[in-house]
Amino acid sequence: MIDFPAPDRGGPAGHVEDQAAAFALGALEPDEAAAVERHAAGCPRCARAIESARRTTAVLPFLAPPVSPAPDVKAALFARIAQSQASAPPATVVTPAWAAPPAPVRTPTLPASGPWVSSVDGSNRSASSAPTSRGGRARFGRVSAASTAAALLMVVGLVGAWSLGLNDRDEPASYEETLGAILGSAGTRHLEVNEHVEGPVRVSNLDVSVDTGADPRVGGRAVAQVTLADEPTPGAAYYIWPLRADGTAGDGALLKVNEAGFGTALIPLVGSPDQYTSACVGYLKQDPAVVCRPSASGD
Amino acid sequence: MPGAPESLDPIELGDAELIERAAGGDARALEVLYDRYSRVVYSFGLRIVGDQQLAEELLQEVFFRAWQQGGSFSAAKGTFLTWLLSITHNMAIDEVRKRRRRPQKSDSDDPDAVLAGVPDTGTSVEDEVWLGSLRETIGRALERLPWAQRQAIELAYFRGLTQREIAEELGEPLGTIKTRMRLGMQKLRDYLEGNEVGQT
Repeated sequence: MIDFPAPDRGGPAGHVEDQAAAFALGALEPDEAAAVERHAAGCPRCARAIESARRTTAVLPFLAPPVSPAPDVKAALFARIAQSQASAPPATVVTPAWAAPPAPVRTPTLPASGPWVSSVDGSNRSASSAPTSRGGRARFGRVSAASTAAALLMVVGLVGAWSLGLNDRDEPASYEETLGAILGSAGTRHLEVNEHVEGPVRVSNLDVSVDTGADPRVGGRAVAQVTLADEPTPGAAYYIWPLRADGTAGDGALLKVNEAGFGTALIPLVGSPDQYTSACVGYLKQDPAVVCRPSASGD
Repeated sequence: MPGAPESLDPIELGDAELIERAAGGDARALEVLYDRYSRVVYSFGLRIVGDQQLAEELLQEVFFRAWQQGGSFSAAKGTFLTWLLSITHNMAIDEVRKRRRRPQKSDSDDPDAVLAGVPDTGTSVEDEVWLGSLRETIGRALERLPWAQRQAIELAYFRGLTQREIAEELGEPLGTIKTRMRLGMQKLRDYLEGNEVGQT
C-alpha cells in the first residue's frame, strides 16, 4: 500500500509523494504541478503515489447524480463529425472549439465596407449567391425552389459523407435520420434567410428547415445551414439562436463551421415552431438578449 | 480486442476496440461509445459547471475530442471511461476557472440546485443499478470523512480551486488545507480499496 506521507515527514529530499493527492485532485498551482510531473517522470516511487491517488479520484465523477443529456446534443455532435469527415480526415481535423482560446466578443456593429453595407437601410436585397445578410441576425422567409434544392444537395453531401449502418437499431434518431425526417416530412416548411443587420457574426446565407411536427420533448426542430460572410475565426465556437417575433431568443445550438465558413446546426425549438421567425448567429456563451437585439433602424 | 471481425456489431465490442475504430474514422463506433457513456459524462460535467447548456456543450466537446484524439488512448494506462472522464474533468475545470476570472450571472452557481431541477430520462435499469451502487459506495466513503477533509476534496475536484485558493476562501492556513486534503484522500482510498472500488 502506498501512503500519502505528511509534508514534513516525507521521504528523501526532492520526493513529491506528499503532493500526490493534491496533484491528482488538480489542486496544485500550475508551476507546482509541472514540478511534480517532472519529478515523477523519473521517480517510480512518486509515480506510484500519483497513480494511487489518481485511482482514487477516478471514482469521484460517479458522485454526480445521473442526468440524461438532451437528444439534440448527440445530433449536433455527429453533424459536426460528419462535417469534419467531409472536410478533413480525423487526424487533421481543426482544433476543437472548446480547447481553443475564447472566441472574441464582437459588438454588433457593421463593418465599414463590403457588399452588405449598401443594404444597411434595408434596400438592395441581394441574390442568394451574394451576401444576403449583413449581420448575424437573420430573418426566416420563403425559400426558392433553387435554394431548397441547393440545401438538399448540401445535406445529401453531408449525409453521404457519414456512411454508417444505422438500420435495425432501437436507438434515438441519428443526425442523418433527423435531417431526413425533417426535410422529407410533409409537415416541414422550408424557410430561408432574407437578410438583416445586427449580430456579432455576419452571415451571407442562412437556410432553415423547420419541422412543424410536434416533438414531445422540444416541440419542434430546425435544421439551419449557415454560410458566414467572413472567413471563420479559427477555433471560434459559433452559436445560433432562433428568435421569436418579439425578438426574444429560444434555446440555441452549436454551429460548427468548416474552413469555407459553411456550417449546420440542429436547433431545438421549444414550444410551437411557428413562433420563431428569425435567427441570430453569435458565439458560444454570449447572451442572445444582448447580442441579438433588433436593429435600431427597425426591421 | 484487435482482430475482431469487421462484421461484428459495434454494440458487441469493448471500449478499447471501439475507440480504436473511432480513431480510424468509424463514426458508428464513436456513436456506440456515446450511447454508453454520454450520461455519465454529462452528469459529471453538469456537476462541475452547474449549467445545463454549458454541460451539453462540454459533452459534445468531450466526445469530439475523443473522436479527434482517440489514437492517443492507451488501454495499458487505464480504462476508456477513466480516460474520457479525465478529459471531461480537465475541460470542465478549465471552464469553471475561466468563468471565475470573468464573473457571470450567479443564477447557475449552485450545481446541486441545478441538478435538482433537471429531469432524468432514458436510463436503463442495468445502468441505474450499477451507477446507483457505485454512487452509494463513494458517497458512504465521503460521508465517513471529517467534514473539513471532505470539503477540501470537493472544493478542489468539483470547483477547481487550488490548495491556496481553498485556504484563502476558508481563511485557513495553507498547511492545514494540505493536511486535510492528503488525509482525506488517504482515508477515501483506504475505504474504497476495502470495498474493491477504485478502478472505473
